[in-house]
Amino acid sequence: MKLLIYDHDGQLVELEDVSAKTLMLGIRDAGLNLTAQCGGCASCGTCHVYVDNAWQAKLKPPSELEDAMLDVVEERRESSRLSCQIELTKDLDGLTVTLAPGSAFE
Amino acid sequence: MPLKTAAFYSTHKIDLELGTKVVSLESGTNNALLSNGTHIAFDSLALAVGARARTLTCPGTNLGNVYYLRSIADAHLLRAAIPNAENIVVIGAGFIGLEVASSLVQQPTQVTVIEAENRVLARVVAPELSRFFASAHVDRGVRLLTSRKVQSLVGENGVVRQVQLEDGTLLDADLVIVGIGSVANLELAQQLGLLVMNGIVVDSQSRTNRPNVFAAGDCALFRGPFNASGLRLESVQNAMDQSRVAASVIAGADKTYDSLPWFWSDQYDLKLQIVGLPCGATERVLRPGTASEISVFHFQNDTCICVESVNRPREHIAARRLLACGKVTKQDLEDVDFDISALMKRQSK
Repeated sequence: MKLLIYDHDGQLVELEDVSAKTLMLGIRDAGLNLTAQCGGCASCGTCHVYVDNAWQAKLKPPSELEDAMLDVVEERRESSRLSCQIELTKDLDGLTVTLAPGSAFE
Repeated sequence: MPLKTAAFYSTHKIDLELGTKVVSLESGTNNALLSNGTHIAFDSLALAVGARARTLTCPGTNLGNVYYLRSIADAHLLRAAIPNAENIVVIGAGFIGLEVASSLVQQPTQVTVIEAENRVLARVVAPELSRFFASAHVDRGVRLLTSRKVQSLVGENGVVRQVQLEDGTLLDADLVIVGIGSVANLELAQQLGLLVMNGIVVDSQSRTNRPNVFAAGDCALFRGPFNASGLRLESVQNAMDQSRVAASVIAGADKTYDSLPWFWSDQYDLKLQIVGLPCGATERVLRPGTASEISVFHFQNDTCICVESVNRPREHIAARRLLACGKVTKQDLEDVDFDISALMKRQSK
């Protein structure tokens, strides 16, 4: 499947043939700068992304845990999600997100 | 499982030499001999050498089907062995032992956890949480034996068959998983003649007693003004924050390590989250909940220093925010009935 990622500099990076299980793994495996400190169990809030408007309705809503963790991130918006909690299913082919501030490993 | 791609290292002008060991470091020189025969000179040296699993010392530890869990290779080996096991014995009821037990519950196996201390997670959580987690495991079919020590592992044809306890009990076991803590890798630090205890001793700038040598992460024992006896934290947060301090100081910045520690452990549908450290606590307050929720607040002379919670992520986040940016007293918490999220909302107004 395909992922469209706007990185921290606003550059669009197109990832083709992504086979990762979650969005966080897809982004990280591609070598983009995403901290994802806890490794994918919604414990740290450092894989924060903004989901493109068109895609928001296609995602399952965040769990209470994810919602609580999103309270700790910088600049939470309506479109905020933890990328580790987004499972890459077929219907998400072409998913477009922007890496949020605070998720970059500095 | 690469955390960073090759491109990351080249972009940041980092030469990555995989499959290469530092064979020796001579005390007094700034030179390392590598396993590929070359020497490398350094201005500064950072030891990020980690820790290894503590090994069982009783008879029978060389038998087949005795596993440790430290590396991804260990995890793959263990995963491959589990489907063939009928009786699994986990030695040690720390994070590793209990997380392994919780992930085995789907298997049609009998899982027994043996712990030498009188409660589970004795080193890391309050007694109330130990009781909470002990019940959680027992309720889900785990057999839990505390205050019991392993005498030996008994085998047949080179493979483990039974675990014998010091009280004489014999437990059937075709797979044994050992999670009894870790030991810092101290060899290189010792070659350099650095000060070591159960870790490489560093100050709040991650500096060892040799000014151009630093250590960070699981191998480092941090001794600061508030923990004279030293603290070796084994956590992702510590590994990342402490190594950032080391890197900043090496690069010439004046940085000190003062991050608030935090930890988590996922067992079944229970998420334990801890912020702060309970050492030095003089009092604790339980905020009870259900079979799937609980928290404990630790105080030192009326100041909240640590909050342990299960399935209360908002409470954990609020505690992380408030403990990091100022003092939270027992009175503050009593005023909100220990609802720390309410306290955070009140303070942010």
